[in-house]
Amino acid sequence: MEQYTFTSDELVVFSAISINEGATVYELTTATRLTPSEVLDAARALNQRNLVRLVADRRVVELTKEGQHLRLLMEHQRRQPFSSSSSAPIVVISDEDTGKNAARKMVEKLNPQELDFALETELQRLEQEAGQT
Amino acid sequence: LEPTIAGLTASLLTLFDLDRTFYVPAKVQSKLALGAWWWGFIAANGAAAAALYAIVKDIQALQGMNPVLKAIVIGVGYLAIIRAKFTTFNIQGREVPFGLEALYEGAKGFVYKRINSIAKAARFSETMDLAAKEPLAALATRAKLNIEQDALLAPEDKRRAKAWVLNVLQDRDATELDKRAAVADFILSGQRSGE
Repeated sequence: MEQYTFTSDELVVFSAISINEGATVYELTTATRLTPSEVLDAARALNQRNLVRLVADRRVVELTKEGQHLRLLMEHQRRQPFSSSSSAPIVVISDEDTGKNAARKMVEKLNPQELDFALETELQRLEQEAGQT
Repeated sequence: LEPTIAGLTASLLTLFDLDRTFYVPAKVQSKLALGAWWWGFIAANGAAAAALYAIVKDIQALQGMNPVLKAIVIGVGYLAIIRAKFTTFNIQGREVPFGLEALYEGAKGFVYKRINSIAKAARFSETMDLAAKEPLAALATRAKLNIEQDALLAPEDKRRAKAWVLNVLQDRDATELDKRAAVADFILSGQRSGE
């Protein structure tokens, strides 16, 4: 059986796309808690491997036939993890952390006070920028 | 009267399930089609429960029960009865259970797929409208307030949601519109998360 190698971002994005309906990039961003550019990067990488297609000005992501087939296999393996016909994993995660991932993960580790301060600072910066334009 | 009560009970339960499953914005393009699938499915479940009442009302387990209560019990238990296996067939030496569940689930999937498609298009329009209307700072402030005022979110969920908002704002590779639409979707979707 063919084995697919995904980064963890690609895997969460791929798993969050509805098998029949697809999903908008923004729904995927909210559902996966990744940033918009991380979702788009993952969707483009999946698109290059013919697992998804990007439609509606690259704002909607849909599974291709191959993507749907892989999702069904993953679903089957998740339900029957010890069945002999599906003992070899279909998906392997290879994680090379990009700089962007590292920055996101650092923010995720902040404690509530640090986070409130950083968010407030960012909001003030945005308001100042908006005031200048 | 009793079949109507059984039907109304099952209809109400179907309505609750639809309401729990789909978020449909007030502004929908295919309002007529949405209404037809939504209320049609509710009416079909009600009619099926009423028909089921006529079939099972005389079974021994329900004997002596107040007729109105019996109708409510059948209305509430309608899905459980549909999912029950009525009989088994012997195919090549194996017992294969038979019931109406596959038929019911098929019909439900058929209707839910169409409702979802309409609701999804409406949600996308709503997200893009909000993203076009409000600046990023205003959207992010609204998202932050929503997180802080959400009594159902645990402190750790609030921390993670705020971290996500901050990460979106600091996403250097995303366009302004993508950031606004992501935060708008977060606000409109009630902060649901795949985790």
